[in-house]
Amino acid sequence: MPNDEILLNLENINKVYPGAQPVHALIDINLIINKGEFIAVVGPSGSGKSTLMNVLGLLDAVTSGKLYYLGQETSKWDEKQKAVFRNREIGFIFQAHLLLPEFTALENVLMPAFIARTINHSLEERAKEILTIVGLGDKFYVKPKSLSGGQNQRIAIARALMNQPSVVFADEPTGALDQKTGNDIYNLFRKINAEENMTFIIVTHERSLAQKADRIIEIVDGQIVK
Amino acid sequence: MRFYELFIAFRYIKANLKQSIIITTAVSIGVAIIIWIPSINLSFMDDLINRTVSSAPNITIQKELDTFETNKELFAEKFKGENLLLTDQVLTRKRKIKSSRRIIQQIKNIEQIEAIAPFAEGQALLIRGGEERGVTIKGIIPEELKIIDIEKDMVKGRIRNLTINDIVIGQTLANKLKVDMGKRVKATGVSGIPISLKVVGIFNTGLRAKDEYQAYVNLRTGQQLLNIKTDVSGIGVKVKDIYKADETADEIRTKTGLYVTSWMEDNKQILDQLNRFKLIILFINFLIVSSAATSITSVFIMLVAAKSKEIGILKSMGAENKSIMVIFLSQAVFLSFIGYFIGLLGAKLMIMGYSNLLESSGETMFSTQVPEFKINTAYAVLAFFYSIFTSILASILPSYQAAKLKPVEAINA
Ligand SMILES: Nc1ncnc2c1ncn2[C@@H]1O[C@H](COP(=O)(O)OP(=O)(O)OP(=O)(O)O)[C@@H](O)[C@H]1O
Ligand SMILES: [Mg+2]
Repeated sequence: MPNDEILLNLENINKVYPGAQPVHALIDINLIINKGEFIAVVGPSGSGKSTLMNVLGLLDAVTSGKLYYLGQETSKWDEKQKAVFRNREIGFIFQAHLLLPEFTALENVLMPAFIARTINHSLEERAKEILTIVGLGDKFYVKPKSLSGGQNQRIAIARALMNQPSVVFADEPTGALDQKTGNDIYNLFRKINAEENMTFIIVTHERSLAQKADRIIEIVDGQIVK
Repeated sequence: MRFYELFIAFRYIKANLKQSIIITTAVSIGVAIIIWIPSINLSFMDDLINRTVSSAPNITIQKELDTFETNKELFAEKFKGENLLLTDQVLTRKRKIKSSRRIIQQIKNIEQIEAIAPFAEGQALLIRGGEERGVTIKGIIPEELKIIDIEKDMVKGRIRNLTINDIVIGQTLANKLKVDMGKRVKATGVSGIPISLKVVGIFNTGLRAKDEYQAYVNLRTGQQLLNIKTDVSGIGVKVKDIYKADETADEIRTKTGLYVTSWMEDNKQILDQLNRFKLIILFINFLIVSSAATSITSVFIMLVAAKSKEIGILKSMGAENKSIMVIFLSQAVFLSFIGYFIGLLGAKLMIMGYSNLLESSGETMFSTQVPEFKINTAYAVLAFFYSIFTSILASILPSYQAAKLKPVEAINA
């Protein structure tokens, strides 16, 4: 049954945020994502896009349903296994950049490698290379608070790519950037996707960008409509 | 990077300098006081014990006080209304050992015994010109100096090789009698026959009781003054381990059948008091540690709250729970380590300051000399473990809470 091509398999995923008025944010999601796909996720505000990304990124638990990564059911994993998997296989770019303010751009990008306890002298070279690609070749030793929102988002992108994950989740990564930079980033994602067969799942509001994806998933009120 | 947790921890220490300083200060104040209080007090106690132990033989052998004990009431009746000196004189006369040589032979092989010296001690009157003072006169042999180190307190002259015409007195007594080295005083004891003695030495022990009321003479002179012929009033013993004095006294008692006392029995009240005092110090330390711990905990709770977003970010990148824990615990351990050494330095300065204060004010309760204050090593070591242990204890809960944060919740917090 396990198909080598399948990266992610969702079976009847439901997510309810508990509370006085529980929010049923994801309703019976069934979805298969193959390795190397480049997917755009679209939908109105509050439809559940971020929730889906968090669930897929193993950052949040599902209420019911099953989530398979490479044929393995993830609800059986303990915290440590999930942490190791996040570190090695997942790159995450949040809606807000979420950098560590006490560390320089370079250190922020290196952090996933530090956490992996990788000891490799070319690490720093690689981090600098990625930063240069996202247009921050001259900001290695600058801390986030001295940089613009767009620049910080690009650091976050570089950081997501650092450990060469098998999948990158990006929650409106280019929302804070101007159109040209947004386009450049998008093209960069496509390039890496083509060269390294890295899977990309990107939430976006911009139809023009979504059009460039292999597949568009549209969510409305917690359900996949397309 | 193999220990990225420490890399992050040190960066946080640097970035949150204010909190780091608060924690370090809390630890160092706690440590300084934890070390300072016992060091001062135990120095006083040690000093008191040293003076006590060195001012009298570790063990004193006397004849059974039968005569006195059984006739106590009779004595009391007889000397009603008269001063204590007289009672002491009667006592002195009864306290005699005839065969001191035989007794010394009997006990000299006891393992703990280091030195033995018979003495003749009793009340006497010293007269010089118009001045006269009642003193305790002690007739000694050179071996006595091994039992009580009088030599270290000599400020003038000598105490060795006393002839039967020599006397050594305390500084205060010398001042009161207005005598100095080489001058003569007249001594009268129970015998009633005055003897002229030459002052050949003056000592200053710092103990008021000794410096004003004690005089040393040759054993023969003492025997003559007290009118006890070749008897002695007691035999002093020095032991190797002063805290084994009680056991050794028991051994001597069973061997000789004589009345034997040790410094520990004689000073039981002081020793008990000191032990109680040590307990109080421990309790005070406990209070200090708890208050330091409380402030450290609250700082850490704030620290973790302020950092919850970053904890979420680290977790989203795959940082494990135990790594988050290590990041916060290692900050606590490192800061308390620094705090400890600052506190140790603080304790040293406070001890020096206190010592100077005492010296400038002159006298203390028990003596005219300020004891030498030293950092109490046991408490310094204890404070080290206290500080590390406390900071771990104080930060473990907040760190654990940090580790348990769910990534999404932390990020959205
Ligand atoms: N932590 C939470 N607790 C309770 N309800 C939540 C929580 N997070 C999201 N929701 C609710 O779940 C629903 C889906 O939210 P989600 O953030 O996934 O939407 P979204 O599609 O990402 O929206 P946007 O485009 O504005 O980012 C919304 O109704 C939201 O209010
Ligand atoms: Mg969203």
